[in-house]
Amino acid sequence: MTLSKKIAARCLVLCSLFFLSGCLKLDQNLFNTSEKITAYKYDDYTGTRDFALDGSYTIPSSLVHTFTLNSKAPGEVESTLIYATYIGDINRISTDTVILYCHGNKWHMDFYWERAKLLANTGWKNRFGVLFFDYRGYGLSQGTPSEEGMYADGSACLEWLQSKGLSNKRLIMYGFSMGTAVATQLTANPRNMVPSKLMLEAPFASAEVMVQDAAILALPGTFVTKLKINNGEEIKKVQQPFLWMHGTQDNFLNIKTHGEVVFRNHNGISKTARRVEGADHGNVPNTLGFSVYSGIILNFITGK
Amino acid sequence: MKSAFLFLILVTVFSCAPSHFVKPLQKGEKALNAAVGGPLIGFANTVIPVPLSSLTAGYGIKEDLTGFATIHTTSLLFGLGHLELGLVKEVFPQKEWRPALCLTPQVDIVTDFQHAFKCWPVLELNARWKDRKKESFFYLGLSNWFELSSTRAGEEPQQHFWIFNPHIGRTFVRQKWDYTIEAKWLAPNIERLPNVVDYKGPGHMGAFGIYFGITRKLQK
Repeated sequence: MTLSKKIAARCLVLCSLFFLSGCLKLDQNLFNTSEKITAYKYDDYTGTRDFALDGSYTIPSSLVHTFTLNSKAPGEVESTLIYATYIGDINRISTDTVILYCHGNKWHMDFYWERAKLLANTGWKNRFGVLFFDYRGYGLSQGTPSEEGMYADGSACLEWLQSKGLSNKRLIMYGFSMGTAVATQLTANPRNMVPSKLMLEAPFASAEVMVQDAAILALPGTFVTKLKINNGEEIKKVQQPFLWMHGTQDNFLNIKTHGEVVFRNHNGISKTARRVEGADHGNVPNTLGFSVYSGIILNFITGK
Repeated sequence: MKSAFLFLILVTVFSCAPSHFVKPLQKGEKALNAAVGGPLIGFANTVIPVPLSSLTAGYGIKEDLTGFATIHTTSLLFGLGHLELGLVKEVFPQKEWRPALCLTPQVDIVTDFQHAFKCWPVLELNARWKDRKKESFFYLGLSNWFELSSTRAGEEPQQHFWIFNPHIGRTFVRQKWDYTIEAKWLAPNIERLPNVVDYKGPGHMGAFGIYFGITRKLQK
């Protein structure tokens, strides 16, 4: 092989490497929308769930309302149709206390149905109204998941609650896992309604902490994901009372590197921590016991 | 969600490779090395090594000094340029049972080709014992990573400035090709906290890694 051919071959290899560079992107893989459904089944759903409640938690079908909302993220030309479910009497939203439940990264509302029922029945039967929803790309909601899209979807739900007469002081935000980003963001930077209290179950501090937990070295989070989610920073803006629950054995979002940071960074008027001994990422309510869990939520909401 | 984060580790987690040159090349000798392997992780109810890959080019500057450059090809696929630049210096040769000792200072540089950049120094030490009648050898070593950043994400204080990784390996030397298998205990000084990646390793400390390498020796 002549020198010029050698150089050409090497250039080809280098060009190929740089051509390949960046051809795989991670962000879309971080959204777990893998289970496809054709309808919401709620109590009739037979797939996997974190836990199951007994019949005493059943919600009368007259109090389950599934509907669609148009969600539009900043800069988007067209809105995206998302699905939401309200548990409670829509005509009483203006006088009820309502929890906006922002679910985790897994699948769809059917997976979180038991959690929503548990919140609705906190205190006594159908004590609270609960609104939960599927982010764009999840469940039957249309579109493609994105960070900005999630916030817009949460905001669309708040607009709906506002249109039904809900006041800020009766609005409680609840985020679980990935949903803690939506709950924290919309509490720290209100777009329409201003929640009166914030509850986070198994929150993550930031995408960068996830990366550094895995890599040990202090690598920039942007090496892996362009997600800007940073609950550790956003929580600093939250002045409302804050309840944090986290399993001590959370094998996904470590309590030390994620939850403790979020809790420590809250500088609002009051905060409550519940480190749930032995609980993993998805089983804080059942590890505590449903009645204990409900008691914690009730006391926090009612301020007792 | 946890499985989705498997992709994460392909890029960043312990983005390390086996020892590239445990023995310096001859003066003027060139070699190309391809390596694959990584820490063991639990995935889909089994344990697998993460298939991190890298390509290394080496050049014998002097009889006892080799320069090398490595590019991490798996990282490159995800838009990250991870380059290692280093030197292998033989401190003294093997004398009977006393092993040959090599010192490898290197620097790791990672960039996303936009604005994020990370750099850390590595110092590796390898003791090598040659077979009696063959050129193949067995080696023991310690690679040390040094974290230069005083803080972690969210301005949390840095806990680990020194990460050491003991390893053991065997290189089968052939006329044109060398084949290496290496086992590493990554970060045995750091407690393995549960996180998005389910590392496997002895006790609760660090992670265990397995690597394979193949080297093509080129003529001077």
